[in-house]
Amino acid sequence: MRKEPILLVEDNPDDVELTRRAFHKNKIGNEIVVARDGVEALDYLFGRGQWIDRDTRFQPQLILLDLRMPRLNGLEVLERIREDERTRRVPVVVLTSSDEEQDLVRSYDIGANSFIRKPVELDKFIDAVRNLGLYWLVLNEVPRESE
Amino acid sequence: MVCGALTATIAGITLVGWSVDAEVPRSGLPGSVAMNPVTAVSFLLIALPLVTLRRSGLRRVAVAAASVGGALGAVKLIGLLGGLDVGFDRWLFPGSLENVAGGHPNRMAPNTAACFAGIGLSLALLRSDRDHHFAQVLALLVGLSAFVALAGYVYDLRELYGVGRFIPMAPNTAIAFLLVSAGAMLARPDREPLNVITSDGAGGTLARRLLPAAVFVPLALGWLRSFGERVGLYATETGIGLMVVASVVTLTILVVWTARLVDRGEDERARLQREIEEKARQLNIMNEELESFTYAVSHDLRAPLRSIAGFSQVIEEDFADRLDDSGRGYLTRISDAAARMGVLIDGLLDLSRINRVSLKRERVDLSGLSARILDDLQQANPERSVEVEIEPGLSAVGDPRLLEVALRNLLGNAWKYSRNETSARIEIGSPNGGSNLAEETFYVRDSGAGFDMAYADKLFGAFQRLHGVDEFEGTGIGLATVQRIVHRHGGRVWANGRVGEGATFYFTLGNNGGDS
Repeated sequence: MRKEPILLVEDNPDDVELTRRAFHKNKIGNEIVVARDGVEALDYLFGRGQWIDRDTRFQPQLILLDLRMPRLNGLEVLERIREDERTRRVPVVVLTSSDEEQDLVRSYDIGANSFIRKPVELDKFIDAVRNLGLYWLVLNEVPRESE
Repeated sequence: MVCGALTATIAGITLVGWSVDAEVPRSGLPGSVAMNPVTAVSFLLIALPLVTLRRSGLRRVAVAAASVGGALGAVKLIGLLGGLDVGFDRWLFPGSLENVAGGHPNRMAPNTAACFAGIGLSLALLRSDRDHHFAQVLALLVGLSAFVALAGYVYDLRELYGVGRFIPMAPNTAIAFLLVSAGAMLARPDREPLNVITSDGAGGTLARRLLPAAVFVPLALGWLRSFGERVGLYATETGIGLMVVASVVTLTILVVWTARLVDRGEDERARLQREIEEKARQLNIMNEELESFTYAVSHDLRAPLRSIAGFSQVIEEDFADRLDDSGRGYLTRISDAAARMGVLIDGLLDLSRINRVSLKRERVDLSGLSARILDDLQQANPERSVEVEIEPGLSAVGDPRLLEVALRNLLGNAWKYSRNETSARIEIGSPNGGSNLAEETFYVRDSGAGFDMAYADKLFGAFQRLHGVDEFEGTGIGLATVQRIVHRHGGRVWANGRVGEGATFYFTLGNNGGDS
């Protein structure tokens, strides 16, 4: 089974660093591709801009999406992801510091698979990532890509 | 009181009139029947309760006087009805009674007797809380009879002031009864039925302006009509026609004038209403801005906090061998401080959220909720053994999520602050027992560290604590949160405590869990 990368859409470099560390600590081997905001994320997914040469038949195994970002915010990115045939079924976990009820509701409405609030303590974050990895990368089933 | 005094004066003048044999003082109108002297004495008796109305000490005397006056009237009335000649109205000035104008020897008239009976009973009951309404109705009836009699004198219609072949009611008697009746009605100005007129609102103002017109305009027009007819200005039908026209005109003017008055009042009210709405709108905007500011700040503070806590931990893990104990200790302090700050920020966010969410209103089983919360607490601290007493059947109407937050805070505090007791005890119940009361009170009691009542007013302030962090951890937001939740439900929260002996927190949830 081919191991596709995990797309991490996050604008805060500290959070990127800590998330990488958490995945590493949990021995999750997937490559982590980082997009610094919504535009970069969509460029990656649809093979545009700096990712123009990417083969878009292969999509990430998991997308971790922050909501509050400059330019395009997370919910808008989520909408585009769910609109495109190539990316509609990729599991998207919203990983955000927002605890606003409406962000939660909107995320699920647009089609996020899961919504996780970033804890302050690193231990808890590492735990969350472990559970994330275990569930979404190992246990969870996704449709086979039609080649 | 004034009415009482005036009545007594009239009675006094009448008696003087009898004693000097002068006609006018004893009958009020020349050529009319005179007030019987015993009637005058009865009026004196009746005036007493009115004059002493405000003095509570003389109540028994007043009631006795009123009863005697009423009894005199009742006895005379019964006597007349039964054909007996009860003669006490001849006891005063017996000689003069027979030689009077008007044809009859002077006696107390039957309608006068009936009025005395009525007003006597009324005045006797006037001070009682239970019967004063009835008393005032009686007084009103008596006043009406007197008014009819007076109208009879104004229009020269004997049927109105005299019954059958009996001696009629004297004009000064009628006036005196009117005064007494008015006095009785005015006795309780703040209650039914007089409060309609005395109220401060639009109704009262209107009533006070229109009532004199309602009484005097028809009287005046009626009198004008009959006067004109008697003097020969016009015939009866013309007179009636003129009176109708005059009534229509007067009433229309009154209506228009009243409408203008009401409009002006309404304009003023509308203006004030708009002012209030404007102020409320501004207040709302300020509130919202404050809330979104609080929210944004709390929110944006969490990200750097994550970095601080996270990288301290990274250093701790990756560079442990290059750090000595104090180095590691400092890092731990950094992490702990970051964690505390996280809790604070979460608390602030929760606090601000309480005002933003819309309040649901359901019946919440507080006993069950408390049991679950205490269960959670026990599971988190299995080593502790706490005696728990939950009063069964506690329930209230309110928002289930917010009530859960409030109880979690209160029970969590009780759990935390009784930590150092060997035999800790937590109770939750209701002092007035049972639900379905208008404003039910609940309490949470613990046998823990307690607090000094001298600082009781600081208990519910945000970030206010009465214990140091080293004694008991905490941020000081919990009780502020409880207070805000309770206030949103329209209730109150307060506490009693003693250092070392525990604390009891009381709260109410208002009527029907209202939203303020």
